[in-house]
Amino acid sequence: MTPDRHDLAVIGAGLMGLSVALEARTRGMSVVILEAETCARHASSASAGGVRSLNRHPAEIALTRAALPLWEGLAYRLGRDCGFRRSGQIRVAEDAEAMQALEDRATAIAALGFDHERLVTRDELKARIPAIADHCLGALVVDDDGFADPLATAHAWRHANARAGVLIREHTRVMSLERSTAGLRLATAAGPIEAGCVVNTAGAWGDRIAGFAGDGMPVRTAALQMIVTARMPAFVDPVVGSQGRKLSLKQTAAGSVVIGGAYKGDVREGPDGPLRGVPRAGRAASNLANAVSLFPALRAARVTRIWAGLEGMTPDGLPYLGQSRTMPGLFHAFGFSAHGFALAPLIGPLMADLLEGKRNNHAIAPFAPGRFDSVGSV
Amino acid sequence: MTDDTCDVIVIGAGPAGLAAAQSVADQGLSVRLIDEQPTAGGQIWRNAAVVTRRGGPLAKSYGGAVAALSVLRNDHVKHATSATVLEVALSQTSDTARDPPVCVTWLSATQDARGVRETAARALIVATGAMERPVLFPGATLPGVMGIGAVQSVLKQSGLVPTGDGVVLAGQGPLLMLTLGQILAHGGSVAAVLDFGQSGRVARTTSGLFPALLSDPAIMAQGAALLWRARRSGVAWHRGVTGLRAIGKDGIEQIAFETGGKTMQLTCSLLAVHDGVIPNTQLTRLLALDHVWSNAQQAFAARSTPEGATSAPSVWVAGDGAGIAGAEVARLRGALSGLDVARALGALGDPEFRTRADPLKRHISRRGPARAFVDKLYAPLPVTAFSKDNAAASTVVCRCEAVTLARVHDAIRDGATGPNRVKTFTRCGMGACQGRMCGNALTRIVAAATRSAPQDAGALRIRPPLKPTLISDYLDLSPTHDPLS
Repeated sequence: MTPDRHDLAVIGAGLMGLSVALEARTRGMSVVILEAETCARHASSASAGGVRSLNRHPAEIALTRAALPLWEGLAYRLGRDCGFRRSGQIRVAEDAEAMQALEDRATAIAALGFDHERLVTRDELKARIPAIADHCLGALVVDDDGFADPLATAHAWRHANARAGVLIREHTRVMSLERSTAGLRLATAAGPIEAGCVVNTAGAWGDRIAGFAGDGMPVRTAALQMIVTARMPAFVDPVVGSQGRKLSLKQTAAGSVVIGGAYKGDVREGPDGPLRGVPRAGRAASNLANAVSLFPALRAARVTRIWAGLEGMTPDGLPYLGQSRTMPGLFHAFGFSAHGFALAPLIGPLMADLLEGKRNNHAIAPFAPGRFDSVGSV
Repeated sequence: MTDDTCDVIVIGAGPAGLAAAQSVADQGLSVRLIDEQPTAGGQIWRNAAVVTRRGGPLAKSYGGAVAALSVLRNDHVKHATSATVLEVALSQTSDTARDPPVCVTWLSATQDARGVRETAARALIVATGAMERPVLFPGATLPGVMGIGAVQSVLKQSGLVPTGDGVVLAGQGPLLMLTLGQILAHGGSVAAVLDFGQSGRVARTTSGLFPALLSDPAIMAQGAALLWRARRSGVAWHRGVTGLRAIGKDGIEQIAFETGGKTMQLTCSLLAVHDGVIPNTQLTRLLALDHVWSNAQQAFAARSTPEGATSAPSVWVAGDGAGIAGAEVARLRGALSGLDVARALGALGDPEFRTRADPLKRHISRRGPARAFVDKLYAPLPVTAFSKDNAAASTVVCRCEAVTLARVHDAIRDGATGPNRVKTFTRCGMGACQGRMCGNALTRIVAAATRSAPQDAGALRIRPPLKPTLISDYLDLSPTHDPLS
């Protein structure tokens, strides 16, 4: 069987894969996306959709700030609405200790040269969100953060890829990866493929793909739970979290409340690795208790659906971005550890620069694929 | 925080669930019977105590209820009424002593005890019965339009039937005939029946008539009597109907339809529609069991052995939820699945199992030809049979999210190759009922439009909770319930 030839093969049609593929195609490469299941089946559709620079790991702050402007133009670029809203993101303090932690954070961030995170007083918090519980003492705010609709965003990206001439091969699992004369050769469920280079955006399965090349890049699979309620009258504009509590809460334009907080369901294993996430009621209850403590009126809301999507979590919670140490032409972009959504529009150009060997201003050393090697050097 | 354990959980207290509970309890195993209704009996024997005491024409169809309900007095059976299942978790470990194979999270909503409970068990029997097939046409969401099943529920619950001069029944099937007879027998009135059945079908079906008569003479006689009475009722009968529309502002006022090449319009205050019943698969889909599409019944049911064992080791299905076969076969299949569970749990030896199971299996298979005859006679109509092609923009598929047939078709053209893809593109099936109402129609629409087999098109994935649930109820399960709130 003569293999199909492409300049680039992207493994995994989640948001990251779709972003990389579209950017590479725009720069003139021929691109195929190989997806074991269907587009945006796992982490991308269990995402909370937060476009958040607030409370990021210092290594990720510059990247998320660079990604924000890209969200503004994304709907135009993709030709479809992504449900993006600059609603702001807010992290409240419920006691003195939490308030102190937020103040320390603000100071630390300022020392790094950033000014986007701002402390607000109890009165300003109450003025912004009248429905918030009375015990809240203040908050840290980023006004130009927001959220988007993950399903609409994935849909738009998929469509833009198809329109741009990217081949999207669903139900096409990659079974091996090796060097060949022309670059890299992939064995897939639909036959062999040759590619000049390969980007691994396989999320929870990213470590398996890396393993084909001999790259040891640990990820732990987590089934991240999301909860959605029936529609309610509008009561909160920004995305709300709480210092010291696992919670992310937002109200969509339709009125339903989407509640997350990195509570985990069960991971069902199959023969080809993790199969699907199974949400658990007890953990959802803990998540809901957190939501109710900030918004007591939520007690009367109805939960309509709880779901769980599989995501790859790295040991330090930072993604892997960069070239394989063992297989030239293979690049990694996975392990976003449940907070990659905001970065998705940036990952395309960033990875395309790496593919083309172009310099850019993004500091990606903290995301080096080899940083957990015990023997080798990065 | 499991607060309750037992050997077997049975979900659904209709003929199948009651019989299953009886079989299991007879072997000395403990049973937790969980049912949504305030009293046991399922849809077929709804409100059994009151109806049988009241007597009258309806009570005749409650013949088996008294015997079946006696299981509720068995010491091994704990019956939870007004109880909604939110979630079922199946253990992946094989250490069944530490980790019971099944854990059901359910909401008790009785007047004196409201709260979320968790019950662990060694096995689960799903007997969640049938539901009406969704019927799509413009105006179907107007108040005053309902399924025949809703008319049945009201009659059984409160003894009331629709009255007035604007009652119209539309569609096809035995339940439509039965309901017509019941409305008339209870002093109600029906202005017209719109018969969507294909003319000439009886002739095509007669090849199966003789075996059917032998297989279940009682059912066949009952059916013949229904047809005979319906024909003699004097109710206006429109045949070969297509292009139904319900018209009105805040509720139904008129209906329009086509018959014999003409468009007709009738004043209408209540329109009850029906195209047969299908297995309710919400729970078996939640468990991600294997499902099989029945071409004869145009619906999915969980794949199961004759004894009801499914693709998950600790889960059985019984009754109409495992494929539509009617109340009597549901009872037999319930009893059989209960025996199989008892055997699997070691409470019943193989020889004893066969002695008890074989007669049940014979009774079930004897009734096969009658069911095949009825399936053929009332073969499900094409999913768009009630509507016209040009009405797609005003035909709602998903009521919760107000998604029209036209939008579903757009999504399919856009590359949505299955119901879950359509859901993510359009929100069809993403609302409060999670596609319980529209799921069957959606599978058929996608399969027809993509020229694929419904088996391959698949069905909507179902997530917990099975029914919308108050957050305040969920908090019962929270180990970290916060004093700050």
